Amino acid sequence: MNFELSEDQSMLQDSVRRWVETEYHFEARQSLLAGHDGWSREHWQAFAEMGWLAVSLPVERGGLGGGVIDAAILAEELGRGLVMESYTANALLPATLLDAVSGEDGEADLASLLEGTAIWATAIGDARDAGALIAEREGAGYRLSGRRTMVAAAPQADHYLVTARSGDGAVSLFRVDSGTGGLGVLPYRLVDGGLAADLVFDGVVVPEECRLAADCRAALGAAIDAATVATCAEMLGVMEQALWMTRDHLQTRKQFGVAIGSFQALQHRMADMYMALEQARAITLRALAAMQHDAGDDRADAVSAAKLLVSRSAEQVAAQAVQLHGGMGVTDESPVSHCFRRLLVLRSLHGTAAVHQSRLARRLGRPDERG
Amino acid sequence: MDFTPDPSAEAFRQEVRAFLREHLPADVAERNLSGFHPTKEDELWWTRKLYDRGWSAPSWPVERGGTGWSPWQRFIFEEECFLAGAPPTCAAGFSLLGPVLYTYGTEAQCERFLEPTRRGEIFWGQLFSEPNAGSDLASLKTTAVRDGDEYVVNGQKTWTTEGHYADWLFCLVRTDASGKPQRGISFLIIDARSPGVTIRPIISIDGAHSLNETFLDNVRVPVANRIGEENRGWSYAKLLLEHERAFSAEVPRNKRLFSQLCRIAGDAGLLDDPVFAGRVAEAQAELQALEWLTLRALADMERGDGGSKPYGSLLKVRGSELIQKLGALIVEALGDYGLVQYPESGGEALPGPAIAPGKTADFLYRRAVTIYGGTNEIQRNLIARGFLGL
Repeated sequence: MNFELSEDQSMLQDSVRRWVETEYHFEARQSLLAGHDGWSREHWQAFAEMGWLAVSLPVERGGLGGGVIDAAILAEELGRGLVMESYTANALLPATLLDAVSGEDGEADLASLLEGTAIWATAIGDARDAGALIAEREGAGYRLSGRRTMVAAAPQADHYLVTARSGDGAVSLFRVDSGTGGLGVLPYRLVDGGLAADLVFDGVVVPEECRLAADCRAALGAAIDAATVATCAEMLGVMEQALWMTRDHLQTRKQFGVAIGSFQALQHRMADMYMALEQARAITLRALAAMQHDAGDDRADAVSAAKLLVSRSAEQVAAQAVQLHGGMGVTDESPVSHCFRRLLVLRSLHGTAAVHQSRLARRLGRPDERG
Repeated sequence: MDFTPDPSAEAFRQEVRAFLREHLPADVAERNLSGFHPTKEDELWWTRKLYDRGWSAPSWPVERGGTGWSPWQRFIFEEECFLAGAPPTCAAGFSLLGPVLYTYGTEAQCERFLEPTRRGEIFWGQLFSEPNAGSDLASLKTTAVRDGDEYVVNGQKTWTTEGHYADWLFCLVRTDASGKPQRGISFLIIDARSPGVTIRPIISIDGAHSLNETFLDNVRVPVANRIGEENRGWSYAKLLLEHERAFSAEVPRNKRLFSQLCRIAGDAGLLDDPVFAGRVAEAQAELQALEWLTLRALADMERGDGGSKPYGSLLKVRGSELIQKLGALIVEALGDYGLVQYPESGGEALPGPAIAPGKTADFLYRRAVTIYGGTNEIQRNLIARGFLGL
């Protein structure tokens, strides 16, 4: 067990930090968000060229072999920079799914994702349920009917990975290309400036080869777990940013003739924020370890514990960061308000704290859950 | 970063478990799992058992009878002993007095005290706090005035944990009142049977006796029993308070409380209640985070990087708050039986489930964990000022 970053991991971390500093400083981000698209295809291409989109996948699938741990390192740094191009939604999650369900036949799809030539998004419903989407046989292919709401980073996608229930209770995985007849995409912005969409499947018919897996439940669980841990790591990055920004404010802001950081009430608030962040980091590391050597419910429990505590910590850190910034904290021009909004969205992605707490509570009755 | 499990750690755990199976009798384990205070007999008897295996002073240097274990091994050892219900060993002796003695004491002092302590022949009591010197320990007033080859000590000390068990005491005294409060403090060891030493019980919030106040009335202490230099005792004591920091989260105690909580709540059907089970689930996640925070602190210590984060304060605050949270859940899960004042001596025909006695007493006693060792408010000051730079 080793908590230190390897040389490769440090290089990955440094490369993201450098990119954020030069290409994604606050003013650049503000003008990007103010634009029509709200994201940049050039940025995405740069991510691909720097190898970021491929960090997690095994080498034999065209990846860099870093697994979920390197994905988390990347996600944390992107979180620190409040980067809106979504590595988790457009790369980690679809790539993990494609890797799991495809063989050589999937090489081209995977390559398009890793090289950034096509944008992939996943419409898999919330948590482990395939939701209300149904797949029925239609000639040599399948007809998909139903809808998926709040599909993250979806409006810009060229391809969607879609889960749907088939008659026998299995959850099948389909590839649906944007522009397919019957597919309605209702795009919208989220409060953090991010992009999402509702997808409406009104008799979407896809050919047989677009059914990538007859039953993808096992692969889906693992992929969602990976994406959830990466989301936790991304929240750690945003929290770090909010924490130190607030510390700097407390050191420099003067009232009553002294730095407000000299007031014990505020010092204790900051200490609590810091402890919440360290708790969040510890439980995320534990979930990463579980991703490395646990499976099934044990792995999912570790991931739920992480999403629960990281989300709770994020709520506390975000709220106090804004509070301690005073009036400036509630303005759009203050980066801390963007941290708050980003954390609000990330807390909800892949299940809120309450959802994971309920799940863990139901698991407590199991005999192996004691201790 | 890589979390491939280390097979040697698991092998070590099995070795400790095998030792506990062989040497820890069920009745002793049951007494120590109850939540009531341990007895002197159990503590010293168990120390001797550990000594026979060479394990009674794991944190000490090898040349002083330590085990040479890594921080990880010590963590595993303490966890296994605690969860199995092994009696504690004298914390004042092993965690506080021992390190000061082998770091600052003379060879003669080490020879006289270290080995008997390891063998479980000396029980130590700590005399630091005073009625008017708690968090502000350096303001202590107990005086030691030189008279030939002796000091004459006068004053009052308090919170002497298990002082009524003590054979020897170690004491911070003022030997010079002229300069800054931190200067002018010396570190003495005092025979508990010396004339003028009076140890009186303080009955604590659990209704039991483990704490004491100690009165020192013209107690004559040979100068040979001063550890280190005169007026330098404060820096020695400060070192102690840093000594055990990766262990301050009390992960083993928290794990034991959690498993007792699951048992009590399960028996009461409360794990099927979504609201109560939700609170248990959250406490479990906090326990898991605390353990990983500790593992990380241990790993940093092993690399000589234990100062990279304010681990001492962080672990102390998180660990102590979780102890109190778990204790409160246990009392709640016991329902009406959480309110019974069970006799420490046990007895026939007690009301409620067999696991109940001792649980609320422990919950009450552990109100102290957020107060001793530097209150949690002091720890927050340290994080804010020392680490966050405020």
